[in-house]
Amino acid sequence: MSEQFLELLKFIFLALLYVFFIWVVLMSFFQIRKPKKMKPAGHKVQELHSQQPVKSLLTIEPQDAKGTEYILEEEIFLGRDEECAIIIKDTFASHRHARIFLEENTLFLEDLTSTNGTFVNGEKIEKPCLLRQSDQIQIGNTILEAK
Amino acid sequence: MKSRNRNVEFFLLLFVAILVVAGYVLASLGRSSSIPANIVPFLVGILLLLLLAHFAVRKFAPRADFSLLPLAGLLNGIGYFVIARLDKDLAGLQATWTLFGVGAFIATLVLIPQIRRIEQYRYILMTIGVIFLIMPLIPGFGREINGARIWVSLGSINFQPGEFAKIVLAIFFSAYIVEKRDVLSITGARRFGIAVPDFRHLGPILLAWGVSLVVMVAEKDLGSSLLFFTLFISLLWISTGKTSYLVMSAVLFFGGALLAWSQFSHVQERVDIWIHPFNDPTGDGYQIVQSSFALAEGGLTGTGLGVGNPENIPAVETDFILAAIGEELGLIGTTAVLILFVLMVGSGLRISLTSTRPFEKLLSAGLTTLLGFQAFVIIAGVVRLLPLTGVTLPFVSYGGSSLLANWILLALLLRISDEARKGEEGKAPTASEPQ
Repeated sequence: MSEQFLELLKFIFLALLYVFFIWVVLMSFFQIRKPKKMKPAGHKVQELHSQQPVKSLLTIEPQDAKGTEYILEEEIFLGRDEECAIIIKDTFASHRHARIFLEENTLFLEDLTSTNGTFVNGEKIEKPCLLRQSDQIQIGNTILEAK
Repeated sequence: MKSRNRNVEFFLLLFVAILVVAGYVLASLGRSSSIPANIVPFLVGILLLLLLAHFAVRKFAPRADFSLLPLAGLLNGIGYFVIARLDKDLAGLQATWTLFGVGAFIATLVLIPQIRRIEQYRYILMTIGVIFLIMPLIPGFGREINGARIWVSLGSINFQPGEFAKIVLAIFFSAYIVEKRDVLSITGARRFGIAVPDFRHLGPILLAWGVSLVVMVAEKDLGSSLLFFTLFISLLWISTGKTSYLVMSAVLFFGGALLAWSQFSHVQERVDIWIHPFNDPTGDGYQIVQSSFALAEGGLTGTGLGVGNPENIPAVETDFILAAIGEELGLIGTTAVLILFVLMVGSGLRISLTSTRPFEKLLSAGLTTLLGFQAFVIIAGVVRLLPLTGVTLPFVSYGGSSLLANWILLALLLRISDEARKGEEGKAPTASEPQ
């Protein structure tokens, strides 16, 4: 077998390796782009237009704190810890229980893997969820309403 | 979407089989100008192994990432034909290990249908991990090979429990950090301008880390010790987002490195060989000098498979397999290996990003760190960027324990990936699992 021929085969082999990489990268790229398309962006905008944006949280329960209002900012934490913007004095609340954050002009509520969970309108949330007008957020025995 | 992923994987795997067989044939042509006699059984064997793994994924983790299995398969295949070209007997063994590896991969997918099931066994796993680490130190049980006491003999079987300890401890660290994330991210007092977390909550992790470190020094296994440290720090950093952990660990690391350098002669030796390999080119520096010659000989595109003399490098089948690839496939070939690892790390981090539960997020990031950092440490050692620390190049190096452990690691990543997608697809407005 001539050396030139072997040399040629080597180049073909190396080239094929890189063709493989290009293929993997292209497929990965398509996969990353896909979820973006699937994200119901229009849906969110609609929601924003049809409703007044949420600006604050109003305490409903417990009775002794009823009426306390918290103005929402770009990112605030809810929990038992004193560093939290909204301190929830509740034995069922974790130190850092939940987080409300602003993304694409929309407020989201996220449970920070608290022990007892965060509920919105009676349903336990597993991932960040959109915060809408008059949603009731329940942490332990504390209920806050989005205004 | 789920079958599309699998179909892409299927065709990528066919491509992998072609590449591996091509490499195998080329190596044989380069060495003896003949096409290997066992070419047909070889091709059938590879296809069988890859497709076995593929259909297991199709059945047990249908939504999993498509790229990891082909990438790992190609690394394993490249490793195999380079080993086959270096040493026929080792190649036979490596084929057996690969078979076991794929078997372990499938078994992991079958036995762990939900990753959260292993989360609750964190303290049992911690115990197992620590036992694995200490095993080689038990007299009559552990064995010292090539200056590192990392082997255990059970009857006629020798294995490195440290390879498995890595995965087990990654699971423990992730589960523990998730459990204590609340307290870990709330910092206590600020000392010296740096927010210091409450050390009570770090206790068990520091203990596990300390044990691993002590054992590693006693076992003279610097690479693994560095690997554990990185795993531990990166998990803490990822989960809390606190840069202070990185600062503290950098200080700890350099302090520890200096201390180890001043106290242990084998560390000093390693550093000397690293900085001045040509002081003793036929003795202590022989390995690294030969490896440098091999890389230089390879140049840009290499001498061609089967044409160079990589067998001059001691431990070329294990730690220095990259030097063999560098000699015969050149810089372009070694870059290809790097790209394979980079793509795997990319896929691993993507899995971590798409996961919704914190344990899965952390574990996938941790496993990816293990894989990527181990590759980095040994490649950096071979090209003399860092002092040499003897760890294997994942999937490529010869070695049963390493292959088995890495295939299990891969199965865990695919399992997490499958769950992340499952969550994504079932995303109803008020989503999620039944209460």
